[in-house]
Amino acid sequence: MPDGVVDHQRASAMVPATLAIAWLAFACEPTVTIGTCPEPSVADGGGAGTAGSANQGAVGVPWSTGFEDGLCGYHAALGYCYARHGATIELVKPPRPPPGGGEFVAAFTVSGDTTTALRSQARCVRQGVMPKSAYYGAWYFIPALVTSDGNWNLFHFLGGTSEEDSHPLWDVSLANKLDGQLELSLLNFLTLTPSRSFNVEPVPIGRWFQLEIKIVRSARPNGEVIVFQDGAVAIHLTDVITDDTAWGQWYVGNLAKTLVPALSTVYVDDVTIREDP
Amino acid sequence: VKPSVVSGVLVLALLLAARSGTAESGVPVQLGWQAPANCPQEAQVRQKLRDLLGASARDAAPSRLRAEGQIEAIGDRFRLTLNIRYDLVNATRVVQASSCEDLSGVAAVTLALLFRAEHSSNAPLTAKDLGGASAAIGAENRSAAGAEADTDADAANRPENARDRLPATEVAAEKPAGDEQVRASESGGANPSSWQFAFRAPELKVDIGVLPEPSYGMGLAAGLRHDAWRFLVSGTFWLAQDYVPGPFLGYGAHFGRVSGELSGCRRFRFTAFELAPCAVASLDDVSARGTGVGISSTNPRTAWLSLGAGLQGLWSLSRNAALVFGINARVATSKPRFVSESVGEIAQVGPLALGASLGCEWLL
Repeated sequence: MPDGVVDHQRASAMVPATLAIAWLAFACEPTVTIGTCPEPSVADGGGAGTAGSANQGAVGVPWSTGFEDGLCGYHAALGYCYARHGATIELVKPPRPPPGGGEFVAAFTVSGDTTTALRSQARCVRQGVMPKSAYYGAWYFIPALVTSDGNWNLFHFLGGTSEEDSHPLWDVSLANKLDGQLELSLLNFLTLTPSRSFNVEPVPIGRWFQLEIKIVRSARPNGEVIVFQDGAVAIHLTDVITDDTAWGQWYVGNLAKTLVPALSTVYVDDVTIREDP
Repeated sequence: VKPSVVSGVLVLALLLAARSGTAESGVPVQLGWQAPANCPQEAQVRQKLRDLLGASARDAAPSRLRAEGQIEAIGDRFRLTLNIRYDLVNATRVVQASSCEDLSGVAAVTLALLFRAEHSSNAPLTAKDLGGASAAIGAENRSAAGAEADTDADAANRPENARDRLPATEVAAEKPAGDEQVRASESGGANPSSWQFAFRAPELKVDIGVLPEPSYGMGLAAGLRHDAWRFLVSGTFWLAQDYVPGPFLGYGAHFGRVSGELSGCRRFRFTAFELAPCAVASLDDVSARGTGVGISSTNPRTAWLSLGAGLQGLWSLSRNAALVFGINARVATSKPRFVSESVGEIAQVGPLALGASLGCEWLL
């Protein structure tokens, strides 16, 4: 047999061999679970034992996590945490003892660098069909005064049919007052209407404070939104459309576009959802 | 006849011939000889040996080699039985040929080669040396005699052919650091039936592409060398590593790893060095434990096969030891993803791993 024919046959045989090796290299990607979350514990700020409701699509209440089991409180409730664009999440010893006690708090660090095209963000998310009327709260610790461009977000609500098909509803953010101190602001994405806090102290620096928002959901203009700072009403809106969909997401953490200084860490503990009694 | 063998023997013959003109002393090897009357007698064999050794025989220390050769007529052919002793070691070579002149040449060349091997190494000759070092000139065991031995014996009396058959041994005789060359000749394909046990320890290894960070390991290997082929099975214990990928600070994994490897190599010799392309199949066994606040783990294990190729280099340090270095590339047939609840994927095995190794090989 001529050498050329033999070479051609060899070359032809190499094709399936190469394809076989490529298939072996890229097709098989088994998942090995090397770390698991413990069963929800009552000791962790009221437990996270409402995952059954979450499985059915509804966000179970009451629910809370104090991060004593790390990020597992969210995992057990079918939520998740993420950090992107230079942000990080870390479970740390609290800089000051939080009111709810416990060993760990979550440190959400973002980089509010003006050169960053995308917003640096570190957050944890609960998702599903939210309660008809509920309080969404968390304890925050801001270690140092920071100047923001007005978009330094602590709470964020999305609505839609899924994460891929969603749109923003409400933001609770920090804004600098004229004297540089921080105050809470609320943005209604459905009407693009901002609101500022009134009759409350500036957001404290270097001590824990509770941020809570009550939402009485309605797709018609008879809903209600109240923002509380340490239990005091900071912003109160009535007769508003709060949601235009049943499904939603609640983000807790830290997001910033521009901060001075750029690196900002906020500490969070005892995240809760409780129904309106 | 392989070209490399031909060229080696030719070089040897040239070197030996170059010295033959100065031969003037007696034969340094004690020789006893019996042959039919129509065959070369002891004096002629001694003269041939003197011619082959040349000045080296005059200047060298006395040899501890002793030999007794006997040529018998078997039908229309002849058989040489050459008993060789070196201290307490002895071996017998039997060669058949159609010409007894050829057989006397075989005896002379064999003894010349052994003499040179003896004086080029600090290590004593072994039974393998006596029985196999000059196998290329036609020394065969009885069962392997016949046509092959005939050809070799015929070649021994034709210098341009006989020399072709002895590449490594010639070098051993010529260079002071000839231990490794004699060693090479033992396993260099001159003796088609030679198997040698090879052992590697320690072997230091490094690779990338398996675990998230570069891995460092130590292992050992064992196997066989046959002609130009080497087949080894090796095991490696790798240093454990902790990996925290971010952005979830404090969450990561602790990896442990052991691996086994099967390799087959075909060597090509370049003086004191050998280069050997290899086919490699490796089995990695990795245990991983998720770490982080709230995370518990059963330290699960997973294993997968990788196939690849490599290149090994071997530098002979002595008759039985060599320094080995190698590189290889392996394609993983499986790429496990290591996932921890609440933070997701910690790491994934890469499609391609690159490795390097350095170790010592011992021939037993």
